[in-house]
Amino acid sequence: MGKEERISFDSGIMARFEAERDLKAACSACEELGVGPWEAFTPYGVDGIEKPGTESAKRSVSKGVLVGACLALAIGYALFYYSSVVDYPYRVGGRPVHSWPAFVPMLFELAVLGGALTAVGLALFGNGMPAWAHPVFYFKGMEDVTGEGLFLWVSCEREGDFEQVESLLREARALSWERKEHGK
Amino acid sequence: MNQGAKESAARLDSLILGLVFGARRRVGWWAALAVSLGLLGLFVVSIAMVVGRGIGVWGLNVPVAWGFAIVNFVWWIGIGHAGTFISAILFVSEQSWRASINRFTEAMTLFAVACAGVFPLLHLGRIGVWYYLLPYPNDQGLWPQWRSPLMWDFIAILSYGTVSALFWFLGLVPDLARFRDRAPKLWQRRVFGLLALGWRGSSSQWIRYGQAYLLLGGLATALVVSVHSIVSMDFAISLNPGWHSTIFPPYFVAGAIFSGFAMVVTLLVPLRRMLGLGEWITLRHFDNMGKILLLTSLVVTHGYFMEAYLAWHSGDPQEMELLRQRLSGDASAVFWATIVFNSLLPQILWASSVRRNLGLLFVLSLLINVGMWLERYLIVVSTLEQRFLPASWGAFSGSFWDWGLFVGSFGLFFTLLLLFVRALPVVSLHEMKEHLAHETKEGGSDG
Repeated sequence: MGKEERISFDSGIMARFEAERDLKAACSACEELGVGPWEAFTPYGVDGIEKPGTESAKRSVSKGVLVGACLALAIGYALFYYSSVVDYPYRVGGRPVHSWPAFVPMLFELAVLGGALTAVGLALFGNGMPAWAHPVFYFKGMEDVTGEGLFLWVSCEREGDFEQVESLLREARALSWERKEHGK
Repeated sequence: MNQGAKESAARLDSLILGLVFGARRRVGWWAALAVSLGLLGLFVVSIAMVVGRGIGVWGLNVPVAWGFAIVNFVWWIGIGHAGTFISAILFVSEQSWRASINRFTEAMTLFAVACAGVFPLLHLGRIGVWYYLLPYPNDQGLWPQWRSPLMWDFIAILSYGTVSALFWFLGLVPDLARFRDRAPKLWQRRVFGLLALGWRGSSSQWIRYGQAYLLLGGLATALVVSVHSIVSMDFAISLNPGWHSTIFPPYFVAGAIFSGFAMVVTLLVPLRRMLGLGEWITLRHFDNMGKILLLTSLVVTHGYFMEAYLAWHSGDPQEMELLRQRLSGDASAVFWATIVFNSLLPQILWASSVRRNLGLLFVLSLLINVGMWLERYLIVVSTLEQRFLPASWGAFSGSFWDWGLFVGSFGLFFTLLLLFVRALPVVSLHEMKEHLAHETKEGGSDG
């Protein structure tokens, strides 16, 4: 359940919470009871909402950035080598055409650039963006999710899920919730 | 978040939203914009002169073939480094006090790099063929000369500008979504909606976003050190007395952070008042920035001392002569002004009462800005005026268009900055809310 985009928003409950600790309690309860999949929506990154797959998502970003940086470095070196040794060898001041120490500052910068581009790419495309239309935007009060609203979506696909989730939300002191059922 | 923190967050929200969507007329902002646009006009005219008539309109001559363009380039790019330092190094080292100023300083970085980038392009002399710097297959069968520091600079500025813009934009995305959700007019909602790229604030998004932002911070940290090191190597790899020195990279990096923080203080003192940000940008911020200014001033002073010591210790007659010129010769006025502004005056920052006196800090930061420009002038011009043979010595003075470009570049910088503070969130809302929530947790009263 690492990716939000794998969750269906066709049938389930969107609940709103007042306090962070209540939201976190509800998330933990969802995990313990095995309901969902679920997804929390918050105005800032809340520590302690641990979803399965959190660590692997973080690792995949880190690995991606490393690969991006190495790739940029390799492409840069290939370009410098090809252009100054193979295609246009030109001796300056008696120095060898393959003056690799002179390439180092640029290779460092290119590696940083490659890593940065990959990081932003993963933060955006890996997060299912751009997505100017999304089912969560249509829930009541969702515009507060960027302000002070704390929300939890729990998918309800099986018989009896709605009741179980509602009882869980009551226990976790959810402020309000909205049901969404297939085709409605 | 407890009730107090929630109220603080709501106050910040309405303040930042009000700056962009509010109907209040801001006379100070309009006046500042008018002055900036005037200077921008001067900048455009000066560029037109250089492009139209060539770099002969500058005061350059033989032997001083590097003048204001290089001084201004080094000065502006150095200013950008404080923004990256605040957004990247302080983020990676978990200094939460940066949260209310990082957005602004990132913007400052971006605009300073934009100003810096203009000067090397003009300095090329033939701006119409600047694209020769790009490695592309062409009908002449030519490639850029990778062993030239000009190419190092080009790639360093390209990387620095791109990474700064990415870092700034990535930090903005959740706040652009806030603007999308609160903009009063449909067209505003559409514009901010497009820019927010569909941000939803889901926990999956925050996880990947947080990790990517942290890594980007780490990468930008490397840039703080590497970009100005490369700039310094433009000088250090030459054989000129005063330039050919291994001390240059650390000396330049410290100078960059020093001048950048001075510019942050210069900008934040009036803007804090103009935008009503006193509750968020507090005396603690200025106190901390004062400490960094003091530390970097000491490092820069150490650089000055070592530069002089190494010249004396080398026994090299050219190096000794350059030192003599700086201490008591033609360059002495600029040299001693540099020492006073960058080394002596900042010592008053040992007193915490000075670090918390905004008027005094503002004046000091202005003098440091001047001092750091003079330092670069000293490095670039005084060295070239007196190289090896006395027969080839010469003098330099800036022409009207030299000054026009320098003063005009403030027009570009301030116009962009003033438009930014009225069009985009000037404080990072999501980071401040996270900061307030953490403070609540530390206080143990969530709920």
